[in-house]
Amino acid sequence: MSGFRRLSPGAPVTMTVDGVPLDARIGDSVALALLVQGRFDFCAPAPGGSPRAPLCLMGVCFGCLARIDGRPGEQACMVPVRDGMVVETEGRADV
Amino acid sequence: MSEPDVAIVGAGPAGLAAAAVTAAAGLSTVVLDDQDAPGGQIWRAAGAVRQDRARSRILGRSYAGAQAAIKAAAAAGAVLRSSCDLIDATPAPALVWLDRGAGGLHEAAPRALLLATGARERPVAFPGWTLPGVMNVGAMQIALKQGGAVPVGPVVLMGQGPLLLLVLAQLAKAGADLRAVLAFDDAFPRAGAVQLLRAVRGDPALVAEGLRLVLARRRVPVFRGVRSVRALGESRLAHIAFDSDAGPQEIACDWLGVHDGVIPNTQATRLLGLPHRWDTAQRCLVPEVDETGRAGDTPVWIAGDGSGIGGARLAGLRGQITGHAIVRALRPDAHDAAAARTAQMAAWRAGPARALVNTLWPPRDPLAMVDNDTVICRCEGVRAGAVRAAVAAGATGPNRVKVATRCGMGPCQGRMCEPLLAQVLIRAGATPGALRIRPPLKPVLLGDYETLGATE
Amino acid sequence: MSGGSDIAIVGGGLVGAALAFGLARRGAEVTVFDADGDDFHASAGNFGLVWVQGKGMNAPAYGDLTRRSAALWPGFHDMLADATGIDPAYRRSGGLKISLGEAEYAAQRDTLARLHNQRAALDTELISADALRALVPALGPEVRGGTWCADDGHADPLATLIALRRAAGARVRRCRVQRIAPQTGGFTLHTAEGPFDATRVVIAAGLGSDALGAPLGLNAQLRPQRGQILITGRMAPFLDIACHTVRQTSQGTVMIGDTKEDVGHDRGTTPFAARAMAVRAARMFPQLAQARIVRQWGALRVMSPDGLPVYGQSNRYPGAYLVTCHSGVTLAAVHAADVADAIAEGRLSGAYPALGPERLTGVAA
Repeated sequence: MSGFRRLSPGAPVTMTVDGVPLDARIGDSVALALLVQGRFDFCAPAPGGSPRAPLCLMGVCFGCLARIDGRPGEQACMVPVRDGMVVETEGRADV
Repeated sequence: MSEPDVAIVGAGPAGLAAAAVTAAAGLSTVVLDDQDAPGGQIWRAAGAVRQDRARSRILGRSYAGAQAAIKAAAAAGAVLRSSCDLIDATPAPALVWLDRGAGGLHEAAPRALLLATGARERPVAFPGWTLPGVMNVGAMQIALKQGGAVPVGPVVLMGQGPLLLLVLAQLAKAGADLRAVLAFDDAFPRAGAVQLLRAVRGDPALVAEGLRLVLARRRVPVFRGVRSVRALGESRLAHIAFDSDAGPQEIACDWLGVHDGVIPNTQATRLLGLPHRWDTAQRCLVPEVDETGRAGDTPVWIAGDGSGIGGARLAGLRGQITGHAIVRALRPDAHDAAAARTAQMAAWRAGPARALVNTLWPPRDPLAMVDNDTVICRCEGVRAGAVRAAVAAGATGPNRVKVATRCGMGPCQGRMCEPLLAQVLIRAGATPGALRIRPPLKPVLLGDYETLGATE
Repeated sequence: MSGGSDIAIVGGGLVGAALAFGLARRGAEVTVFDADGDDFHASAGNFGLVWVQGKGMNAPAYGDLTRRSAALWPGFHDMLADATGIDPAYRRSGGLKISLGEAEYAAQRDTLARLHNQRAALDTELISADALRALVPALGPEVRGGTWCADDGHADPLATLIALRRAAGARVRRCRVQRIAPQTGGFTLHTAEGPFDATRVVIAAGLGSDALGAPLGLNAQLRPQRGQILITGRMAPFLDIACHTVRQTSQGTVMIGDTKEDVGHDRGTTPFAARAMAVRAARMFPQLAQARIVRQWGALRVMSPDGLPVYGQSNRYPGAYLVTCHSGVTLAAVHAADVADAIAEGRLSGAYPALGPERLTGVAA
């Protein structure tokens, strides 16, 4: 699934997303880090089933909700990545 | 900590400029911003961009003035609190914010409140707009700014306006695989208009390059008369289908960047119960303020794009003007009338260019491509048909539509859906009205409330 | 506008729309007037309890009325759902009023004993902490006990309102009634869109009722009482029983209440109330500390001086009625049935003598 490529090397960090390591760069938001890897599925669908995915990357659309370091319902686009960060995709309820 | 004299929400060009003025005049000034570093949208990740040649050669011209503005506010003594979300506020003024860094809810009761919360992109809705892979062009620019990241795979852009042209040029420079532009505007601006555009955006040369790029059709095909757009794909965008002056088209793409201008963020100003008017041409709510940005007789000011779209340079000037007005209100002996006049005159000169932008790219009817199955409320999954049915059944305003359909009940509280909802009402002959905004402006955890002070 | 109707109901909220539903089912010709404002006022801010327990202290008629309505609710739910296709989401889940700590529990025990002594609330029983936790495993350690009534339940207040209004259909006129003038043989409603004649008129206009009713000798001395509520995002189902200030809705959201404030017509919110409600809810259900609060709102209860409903029938102007209460969801079923019947047959004051407005002043209407 195509994601993004980087224009230049950056300072790498590693997060854990649903138990699996995922590479990111210092300066990324959690949402961007996931998008870069071609991942959109970190937010539960809306009621009625339409997909939720990041639209704005700036805290307006609420399409990037995830549990980050144990805190549910975080807008992943507003959270800068940190080495060792634990991200869980929202799945079922709580949107 | 004693109460600050001035609380400013938003550390973009307007908020920073105001902070530099009020702090320099000796007013204790706190600036709250929801990002992890100051700069707002336009100067996002200013430090990282400056230090990365790959990014600065593409983006750099937009950042002229960023470092100076950030440094000026800090040097004047303004206290910046990053990663802070405004949650609740009253015109007393009083405010409650969530500190996502340190944790917990915090309160303040300053003597003056300045809301400089900027703007957001209009929703561009059409069948399939909720598919992963459909994003605002602003989001693509954020990927560039924040992560030096360029989409892999075919990219199509759709819409109109200066930001679309700017991002088109930036993505092209970054080597993105641009396949087409689906233009909302009837015809691209004539050469004469290009000269005036130089005065408007922070990166006029790049905008001009984007214009020339599109006009010359050198690399990116432009489709006009675009209608009936559908984004299609299984779990993500795979291709788009649309009608155009050149006949029906299908383009395979992984990314669709959409844009139809920006509108003021009015969540906070409406939460405060400040008066707003509906701007018919701009299809959005705009707060009513005097020429210094003051909301009537209240101790609340509004500056920057949040008081009406004007772009970054004008936002900085309005921030200065508002900063001087706050000083004159709170500490008249420190008021620098000459500096205030200078800023005011510069703002007046910048005004006509903005009006030109509005004339060149009037926002499209947001329902132009929306059918009854198209989702209008992304949070609650409410489709246009349900909203239309509620209006037809007698819901006379957005709050009644909300009660009947759940449209607007989600966490975004209308940020995405309200312009679409307003247009459904307008088409039915009703006034667009406004959703009643309630706290929290963004969801907080129930446990966060325990960190508030226990006194009334 | 011109026109007339046998019965005009002023107010299309939970009370007016329920009366319209009941009267229309009896074959009466009904027109409902609902002001063209942007809010449903009390009916849009409701918590959604169908609540029996604890009602009727010193007011047996109110206790009887409430129990009757709760008994009618299942049938009312089915009728509404069948007529409109909208699910009012009524659940006869039973209801709990939970005490935190010894002092609260002791007070609760005493109150219930007094009610039982009055032969009231006989369907409500005290329940110990252990029995409570068996019923609701999610309860926290500070829960000391509570009271339980199997006849309590909850419904979706907005769905109920929308369903009632859909059932009313074309009978609803969206305009404000400015005043009601008695005429020979009936009344003329002076509305924002012209006069409208009705043989009988029912004022069910919430806090606007007294202004319309006073010239007709109907005055319930209503005052607003603010209640603030928090609501979470959708959560995995963990609570089916209605707990007096915490209930999980049919969408999975959790509503948390509430306050009782005397602040005039102010539907605003306060951080102080949010904190108080949040702290109590977390003490009751520790897992709620991690719940996302999506919205807080304030709404105005329609309160008579003694807090009881007012069912008024004007002696001076036969055919004019006033119906008001603050439990619009609980009483919706009886309003659509017995109360509508009483109005249709012109015997409202005879049906509910203890709940007429004259009890408030000692003066007959």
